[in-house]
Formats: sequence, C-alpha cells, structure tokens
Amino acid sequence: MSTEPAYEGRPGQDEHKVAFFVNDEHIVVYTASLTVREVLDAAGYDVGTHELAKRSEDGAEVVYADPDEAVPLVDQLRLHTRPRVYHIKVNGRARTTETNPLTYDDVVKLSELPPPTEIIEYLVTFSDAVKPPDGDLVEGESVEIKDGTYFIVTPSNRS
Amino acid sequence: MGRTSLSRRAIDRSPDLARLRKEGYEIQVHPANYVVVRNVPYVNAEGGVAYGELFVAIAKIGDAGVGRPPNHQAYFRGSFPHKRAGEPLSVIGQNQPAVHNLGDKLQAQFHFSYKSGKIDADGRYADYYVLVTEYVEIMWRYARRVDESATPLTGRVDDYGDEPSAFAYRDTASTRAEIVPITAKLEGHTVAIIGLGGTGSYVLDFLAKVPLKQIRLFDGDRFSQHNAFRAPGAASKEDVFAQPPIAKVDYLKRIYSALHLNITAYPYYITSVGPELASADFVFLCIDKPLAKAPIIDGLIQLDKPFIDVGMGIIAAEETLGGSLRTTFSAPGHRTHRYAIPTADANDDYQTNIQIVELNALNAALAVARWKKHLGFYRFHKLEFSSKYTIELNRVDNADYDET
Repeated sequence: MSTEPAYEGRPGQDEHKVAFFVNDEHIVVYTASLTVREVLDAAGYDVGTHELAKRSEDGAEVVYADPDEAVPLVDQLRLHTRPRVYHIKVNGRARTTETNPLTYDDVVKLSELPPPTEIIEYLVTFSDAVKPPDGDLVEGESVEIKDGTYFIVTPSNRS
Repeated sequence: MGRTSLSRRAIDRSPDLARLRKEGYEIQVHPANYVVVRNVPYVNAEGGVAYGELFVAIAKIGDAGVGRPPNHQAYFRGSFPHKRAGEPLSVIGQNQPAVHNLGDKLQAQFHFSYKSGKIDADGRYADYYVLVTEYVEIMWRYARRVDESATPLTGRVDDYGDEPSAFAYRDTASTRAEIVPITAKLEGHTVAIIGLGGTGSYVLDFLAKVPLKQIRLFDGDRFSQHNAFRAPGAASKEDVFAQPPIAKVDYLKRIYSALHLNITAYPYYITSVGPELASADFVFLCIDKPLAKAPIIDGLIQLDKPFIDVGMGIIAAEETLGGSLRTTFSAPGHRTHRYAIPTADANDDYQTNIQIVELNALNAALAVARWKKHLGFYRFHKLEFSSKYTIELNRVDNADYDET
C-alpha cells in the first residue's frame, strides 16, 4: 500500500529525499533524521499508545524505546509499530501493561489479589505516574502512567 | 493530673521555689506553712550516708508567692549531720535532739541555725533558693565524700494536697517540658480500646501516659506466644505459657497499672454498644475481623460518638514486605471516607495476616496523634479524616478534610 508523500521536510533539497515505510505505508520526507515521535506522528500514530520498531538483519525486533530518540532514515527503510508496553511495578513485582490510563480495577487485577467486591476493598497508592504524579485511586478513578510507575495495592483490615 | 494543689500554686508563684524544683530539689510546700526539702543527703554519726528532710518556715503565702524567709533558721528530720564518723557538723546548729511540732503533723528532731557566707547584712538569706542550697550544700558536701552518687537532686515532684492522679507517680515529662496546660486538654476523658492485638496494645502503651479518667480494654482473646511478638515490652515465659491462659486485657491491665491507675479490663468480645462503651468519650477500634466491627460502628454512629478505626495490609513479594497502614477518624459529619473502613469479612483464605511490631506501633502512633489533634493538643493546618502510610514510599496520604 502506497500513498502520496506525507511529510514536507525541507522541499527543494531533493538530495535529502528519503522514502521509507511504516507498517507498509509509504512515507516520503526531505531529511536524514526524525525523532521516534515525529515518525509516529507522520504515520498517524499516537506516541502514547504505540512504539516504533524495526527488524534487524537476523529478523529480531528492535524497539525505539525513547520517543525523543533520533531514527536514522535511509531509503526503503521498513519500520513498523506495535502497541506501547508500559513497564510498571505493583507491590514490588514487575508488570507490563498496554493499557493507559489505568483504572482502580486494572491495578487490582495486576496485583493478582482477589478481585475487589463489595466485600473486599483495597487501598491503591501510586508514585511516579504522569497525571497526577503521586496519589491514590478508589473505585471508578484512573491515572495516566509511564514506565516506572509504582503501585501499592493492599487490604487494610489487620491490627 | 488532678486540680492544682496549694503547694503547687505556691511553688509556681515563687521564682526561688520554682528554681529549686526545676534544678531537681525535691521540694513541697507543707500546709503548716513550711517549705519541705526531701531527700537531703548527709553523713550520720557512723560515717554513712543518710537522707533527711529540711523544713524552712514561711511567713505568709500570698499572690506573689512565699516571700523572703523570715529568718535564717531551719528544722531537720533525721539524725544529726556529721562531717565524718564521730565529728558532728556543729556549724549547722546544736546537736540536741528534741521533738519540734511544727503543726499539721509535721515533726522535726533538730533546730538548725546556720549562717553561711551568703547571709545578708540583716542576718537573713535573700530568698529560699539561697537558704535551701546553702543548708543542703553544707551537709551534701560531706556525704559526697562518702558516696559520690549521693544527691538531693531527684527531680521528684509530689505536692501535698494534689487530687488523686491518673498516674502512680507524677508526669514530670510534662512539667519539665512546661507543657502542663496543653497536656491538661487530654485530662479527664474516658477512652475505650476495642481489640488488644498488636496495634491495640500499642494504642494502650501510648494512652497509659495520658492523664485519662479511664482506659477501658475490650478483648476476649487470651495472651499467647504470637501476641508477645507484637505487643510492647517483653512478656515473660510465665505469662505467655500461664495455665490457665491469661486474658490479653488482664495481662495488659496488670502491666500498665504500674503507671496508669484507671485501667479497666473487659475480657470478652463485644458485639454491640453497651453501657461500658456508650459512656466512653472516644473509642479506638483495633479489630482484625471486619464483620465484627459493623454492629459496633453502627452503634457508635447512632450515639454520635467519635472513633478511630485502624487497619493494615502487608503483602509479601520478591522476598520483601510492603503495604499500607490506614487511620480513619469517624465523627458526626464525617462518617464516610475515601479510605473506607472494611466492615465485611473477605474470604480469609486469600488474605494475608502479616503484621510486624513496628508497623503496629506506627499505626497506633498515627491513631493516637490524630486523637490528640481532635482534643486540641497538636496543631494542624487541615484536619484529615482519612489517612494512610505507605511503606514502599515512606509517604502519608490524607483525605476527607474538614472544610470548616
């Protein structure tokens, strides 16, 4: 599948014209380098929900983890997207999730504690999130996360 | 703490007596109008250290305190002071024992007439501070040579005529820190603790140092081995393995009655709010079983009682522990909370019951400090009704602020 050149770059400098692919979509730019964020933007993807990746010669997937990392563009480069995976911690255990923002129920599910019911209520506390950076969640609330967001989920019935 | 006695008022109003007390002299004002100095070390006829009492007359106790000593004399209860064995301290007065009735059952054996270098031109001492320290020093000087640890500076405060105190001995921590009027805000309340597990027993540990009218303990459980590792202090083997087993509340009452005189033990589980709870001013709920809480909470709410519910949840993962400690203050107008009080039993198979003593103590400390805010003891910027401490973050979060 091919489309018209999508990125204006610096028109008139044809010596820098690069045509590359994101998920088989043909993109033409006039620059040797774009950031991950700019490539995703050019291809119509949200950096909050998608990551950019390519296949190395041996077929392994190489992920551009940092949205501000520069992607060297060469002609006919084949890039693809994949859902963004967040690396977080819940009660000290490493967890990954593609969901963002996370709700109270999402976090309890990641904790692997019994699901909250009318009977079981949990305290859900977080740190190093995006918006707000620190706080807590009760039923019906959610928080925008990033890599490294830390959650604590506990009951509070012991004394 | 009791009402302020005559003795205490006289000392508070007299800078020289207040200074003696502050420096640790064990002084009181006797109703027969004598300044009494207890625990004065001296050397007796055999050359050993003994302790006597010095009495100094007061001309008149007025609004400005005790005024100047009317003369340079003093009375002494004890044997005659010596410099060393066989050598009486004659500079202090005549070595002739007699019965001196000073009034109001105050009796002395010796009448002293000591004029030290600090006596004024009119033959009197400038104030009670100078008189007392001069008299004490001339005796103490020789006692120190026999036993260097001998001292009149005990810091003990015990005034004649004070009303019965909540404590077995006086709270000098408050007097030394000069926060007696602030501590008085905690006075006279009756507080109940329901559940004397780890957190509840630490709540008692802190409340036992408060001049409460009564502390009521409710728990039907017996004191067993695992309790000893979450309770304050160090329980003896005899108490832990006693046959028949001791009730938790009886054990704790015994321990804490060494300090607080008004602890009542109720060795049963309460299932509703009876008169012994209804007549308490405040309740600390420190119960493990959420289901047992529901009827108690309903009853307290109906009676418009304020209470604090505490609870922790500790999770083991990656061979470490973490979790949170909740402190919820419930009062009229603040009966629903962001950090809710669990009142129904979860399926216990899935629930952890990890508790660690310092976390019990911390949860109790947060609860007792919050109760003291309620009584105006601690300052606050915004008064929270929900609070939780999170171990991993070393962070306290608050919610449900009082908007008034």
